[in-house]
Amino acid sequence: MTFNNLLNISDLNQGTIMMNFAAILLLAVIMVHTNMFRKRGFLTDKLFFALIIIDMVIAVTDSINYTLYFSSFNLADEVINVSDHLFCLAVELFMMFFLFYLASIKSEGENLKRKFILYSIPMIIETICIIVNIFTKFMLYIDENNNYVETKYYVIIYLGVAVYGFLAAFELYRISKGLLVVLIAVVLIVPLWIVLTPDISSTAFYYGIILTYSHICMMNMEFYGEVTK
Amino acid sequence: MIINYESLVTIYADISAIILVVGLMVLSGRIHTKNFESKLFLTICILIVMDALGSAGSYAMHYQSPGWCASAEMFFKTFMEVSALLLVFVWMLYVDYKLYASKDHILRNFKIHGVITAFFEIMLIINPLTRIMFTLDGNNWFVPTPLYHLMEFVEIAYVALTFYQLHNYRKNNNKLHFFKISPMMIPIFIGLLVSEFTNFAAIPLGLSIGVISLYFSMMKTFRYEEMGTGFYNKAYLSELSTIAGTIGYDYLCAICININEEECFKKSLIKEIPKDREIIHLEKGKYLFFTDKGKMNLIKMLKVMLMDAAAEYEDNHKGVDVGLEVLSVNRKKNESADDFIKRFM
Repeated sequence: MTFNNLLNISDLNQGTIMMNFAAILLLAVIMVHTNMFRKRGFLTDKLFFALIIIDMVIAVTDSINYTLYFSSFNLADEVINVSDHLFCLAVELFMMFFLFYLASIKSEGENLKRKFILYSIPMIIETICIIVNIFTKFMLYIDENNNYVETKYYVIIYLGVAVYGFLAAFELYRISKGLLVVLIAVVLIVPLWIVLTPDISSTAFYYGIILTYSHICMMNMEFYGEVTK
Repeated sequence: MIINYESLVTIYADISAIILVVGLMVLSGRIHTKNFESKLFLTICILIVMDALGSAGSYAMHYQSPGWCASAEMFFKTFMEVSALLLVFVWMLYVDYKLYASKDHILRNFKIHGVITAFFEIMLIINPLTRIMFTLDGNNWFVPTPLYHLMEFVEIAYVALTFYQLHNYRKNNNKLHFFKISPMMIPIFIGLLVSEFTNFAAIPLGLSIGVISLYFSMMKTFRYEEMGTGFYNKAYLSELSTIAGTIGYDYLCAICININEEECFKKSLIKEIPKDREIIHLEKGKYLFFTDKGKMNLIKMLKVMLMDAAAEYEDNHKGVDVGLEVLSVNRKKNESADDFIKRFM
């Protein structure tokens, strides 16, 4: 009996679960190897840790969703409903914290506080939309077959991610142009993936790749060099 | 073109693995330093990318009906197997170099392994013509020959040898090393398990996460090393003390070197001190390394060589007093190894 038979997961959802499992493994690796940095107690290190945790939440909620889609389990629709909203929230939250992380590398004091307030605005709007959706189902809902349905207003979620991505590109331009180029290359590949493989969701893994690249790049910067003293 | 879901997921995972490793190769300055170790690491990264490409290509061709697709699948499978065998071989060399930091040690110990690897590589390369290692049946399913199983055995033996090397190093040298193979091995093992219990191949993905983990693990150890000189810093002493306490290193003697003219004398010091010693730079002008009593002749020789180098330096730089002092401090009878190390912290 294979793992898939054991959990009775729909054939088309196994790939997503495997990619989320790979994401959790990658994030665990990053978490273990950044413990030394966290001991410094810098804001940047705390934000990086928060990013790892948020990405783990994305991987777990995405896996729960894909395990339960088309499931005949009694409470499946309620669980998917909660999990889907959490997933959307975590996707936005990740982008906001990534922006905070980048901002905290070269800014400090009042300037950093102002940036944090400014960068929170899209997140507040997104959170309101997600809360409203719980009652109105205007963005996404679960149909009678426990299938996930996105309406045209779901674009709000993508818009939030795009706004944060755009702001992150500005911050990255000041910090590391090399990382910016590599991340733009990854961002260009992802939409191609979505079109070619609509049945596989790997948001958590690609966010994991962004964290890996950021960590590799930041570790080589003078800023992270302080840990060697 | 027909690609079923299992193939699609495998291709997806393989390409994700390629993106992960290529990003590491592009962004990491450390692996472009052109020393032998970074060349080996870079080779490992390239071989993982080749392995993932071979795997993705063979899965893409697997369910295709045109006749040329069978030949293409054979090509990709050969490419994958050639990369996989080379990867295991280079990994074994990398582990040895991380431990002994010597090309001579590799040449002395791995000649026969090189010959065996070359033999199987040639067999794999000529396989599309001879079918001596594996073949594809009418439905494009992989059919291995006994020689292929022998190659698999060799690959497993190489991996086992890396564990043995690590174990043997501690046993024979009674010396600390920070290199761990578990960061690389655990994700690969998980990739193997996923491949075994699901319908997808996840080994290249496991390899890519493994190499990222290995890189991060190496980065952690840099905090003990001084850039440029290769000396260890004072933080190394606390690590050494912890490990000596847990696995019982038996240091009997500490050699302390005090120098007034440190900056001018550093080059001579790097030249004279044995390369396999972990020299700790305690503070300005103060150096230390640990050894056991059996190496006292080496210490006496080192003392003479450093004194000679100091005298020569003073002759060449009139009016400079190098102020060299080489002392040996022995461990007390009832003192544990970690307490002995703590004395110098």
